[in-house]
Amino acid sequence: MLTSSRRNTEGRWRGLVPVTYYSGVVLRWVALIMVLPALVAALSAEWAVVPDFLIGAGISLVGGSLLMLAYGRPTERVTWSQGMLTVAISWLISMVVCAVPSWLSGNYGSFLDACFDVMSGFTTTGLILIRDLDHVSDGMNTWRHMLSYLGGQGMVVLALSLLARGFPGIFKLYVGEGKDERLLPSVGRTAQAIWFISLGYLIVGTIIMTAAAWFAGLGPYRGLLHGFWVYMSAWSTGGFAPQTQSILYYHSGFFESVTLVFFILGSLNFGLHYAVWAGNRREIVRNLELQAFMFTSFTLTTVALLAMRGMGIYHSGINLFRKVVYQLVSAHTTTGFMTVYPSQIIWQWGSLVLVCFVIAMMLGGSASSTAGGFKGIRVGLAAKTVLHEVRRLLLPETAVVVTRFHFFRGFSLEDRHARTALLIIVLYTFTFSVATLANVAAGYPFADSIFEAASVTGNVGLTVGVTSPAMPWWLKVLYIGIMWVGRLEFMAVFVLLGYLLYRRRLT
Amino acid sequence: MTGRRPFVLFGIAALAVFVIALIVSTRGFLVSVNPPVAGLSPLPGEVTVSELLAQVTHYDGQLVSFRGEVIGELMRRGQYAWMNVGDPGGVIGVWAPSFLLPDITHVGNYRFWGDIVSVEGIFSAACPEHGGDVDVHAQRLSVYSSGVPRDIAPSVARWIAAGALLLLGVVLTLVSSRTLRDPAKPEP
Repeated sequence: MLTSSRRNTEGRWRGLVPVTYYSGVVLRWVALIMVLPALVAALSAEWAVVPDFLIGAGISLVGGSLLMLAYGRPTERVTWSQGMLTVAISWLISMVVCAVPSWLSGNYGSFLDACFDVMSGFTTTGLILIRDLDHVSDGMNTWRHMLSYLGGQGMVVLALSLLARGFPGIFKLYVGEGKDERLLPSVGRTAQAIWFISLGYLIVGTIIMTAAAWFAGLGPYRGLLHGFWVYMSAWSTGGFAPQTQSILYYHSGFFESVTLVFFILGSLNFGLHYAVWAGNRREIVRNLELQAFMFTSFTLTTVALLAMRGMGIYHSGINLFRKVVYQLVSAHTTTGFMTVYPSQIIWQWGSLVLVCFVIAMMLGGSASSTAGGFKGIRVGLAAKTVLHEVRRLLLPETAVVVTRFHFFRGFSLEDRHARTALLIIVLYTFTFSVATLANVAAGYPFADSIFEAASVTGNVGLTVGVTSPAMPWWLKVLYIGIMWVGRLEFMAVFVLLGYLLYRRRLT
Repeated sequence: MTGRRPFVLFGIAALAVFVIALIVSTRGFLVSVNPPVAGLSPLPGEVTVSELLAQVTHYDGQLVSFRGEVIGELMRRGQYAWMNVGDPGGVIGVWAPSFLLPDITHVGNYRFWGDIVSVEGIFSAACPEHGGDVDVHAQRLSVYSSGVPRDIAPSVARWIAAGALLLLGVVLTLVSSRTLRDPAKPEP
């Protein structure tokens, strides 16, 4: 007969069965994705690099198989907490395994630095600790940009939709990875539709970016590689670039413009892409999230342009417009590409522009996209809530106030909409405050601290120099946690913490 | 749980072997990040790239001289070309007429430390000709020292470790595929 403690133990272990099993499936998939950078390294005759990825793939296969064998295959439907826990743990385990080839490359000062860059890629942040980026191998550059692309797409859902067919709990993991748009009735089909859209853009986008690279003066093979890498980074709003100077390296207005188009597209809701592909072009005009994004982008860009117009830094309006618009939209979409040096933003562009950047980075892109930050729909809902309350106060008490909004279909604003939106905004703001405090505690100047805190919280990737291999190790760990939490939009991580702290059965 | 204990024990032993293999394979793996350009000290009248980038307003419009490694690609645009020149403190774009470039034989990449060049030209904090970029329009350019191959040698130990890990990974994948049965379909 089972004692109470043994019964509870059995219950706790039983609850981990789907978590370990599906985390193992994800790890096996990680092994598969290491094949492409190994192939690129082989094509580039970088024979010292190829075994790094094969070692990583081997560890992934072994680790994934062991996890699947540990408790066996799940027989019950996955619960919400199990789904969230699977996402949270999968991302952490994958970070460690994916850091192996990065660490083996010799371009990182420590395994922690390698983990930092991997998490930065997964979360499409773009902050880097890699050393000597301008001498990194083609295989490693392919790997870095792939991490960003796959992380932005939702690697857990991809792995499970492809490798665990008929997986009954996939919607819970889909939500756990920060997405909640059902494009199609089946969430598995939705995940595959997202991938279909993304792969279509990948092919077309790589061709266009490669042409832009050739136009900028790169050779055929180098142009193809750069086009592929920069496209993946732009679409995923990741911000990784193959060279230290980011997009400034190419010195090409055409190249900049193409990346601008792609990272704006990448920051839009996948549901919006699907709606346009399906012929519903009116959604572009009616969508509350896009309206909010356009309004905040336009407002912040206008303020920044007016602030800088009198500084005399850029001698022509066109150059001023090009620099400011690119950087601000890069911040607002949480991409992180740069066409100026970090020191210019802090020391040359002034405090008002700095504030615009911080606000833009915190507001972020769209929900169910590759972007971070509050997300446009929450900003829109917060604004609608404020307007609703003001109307309610202005109208007679007996008046029934209804506020409507359109987000792929019509809604009446309810308390649950406002509560959900404001909860996430509060959590992001709290995280931003913690990051700012930590930066200041580490000895960085206040302006730098706020900027970098906004960048890491919103998964942006713009940096003024705080993020570097010389950062204190505890600040690197904190940044890893913030990037992870922000990308998964808090809930999956909270479930993990709740499980660890309270050891409750997963039901 | 009891029936799976052998798998767990085997897994722990296997993992230990992997970690040992990984440690052995990484001996001597640190790639040098001290490029030849890092050892240069500015000559009289020269500045470093780091100084230029830290004081863009101060140097705006001035004739500057500096040395740095050519990295990446030479991007030819008609009669001119872009090249990016840097030191460990930063990299800056140099716009130079093509006739100044023939002596450049190596650019910095994974395989090579690039040629170190001496550049003299007009520095712009926001070049009106090039979209407001920070750049230098070169008037004189010469190769100070030629690039050299980077010390990167394939490691036999890593290839062996990779083979062993992949073999074990494939074996475990096959074992798990055979061992794990499809469950009864979950209730709707």
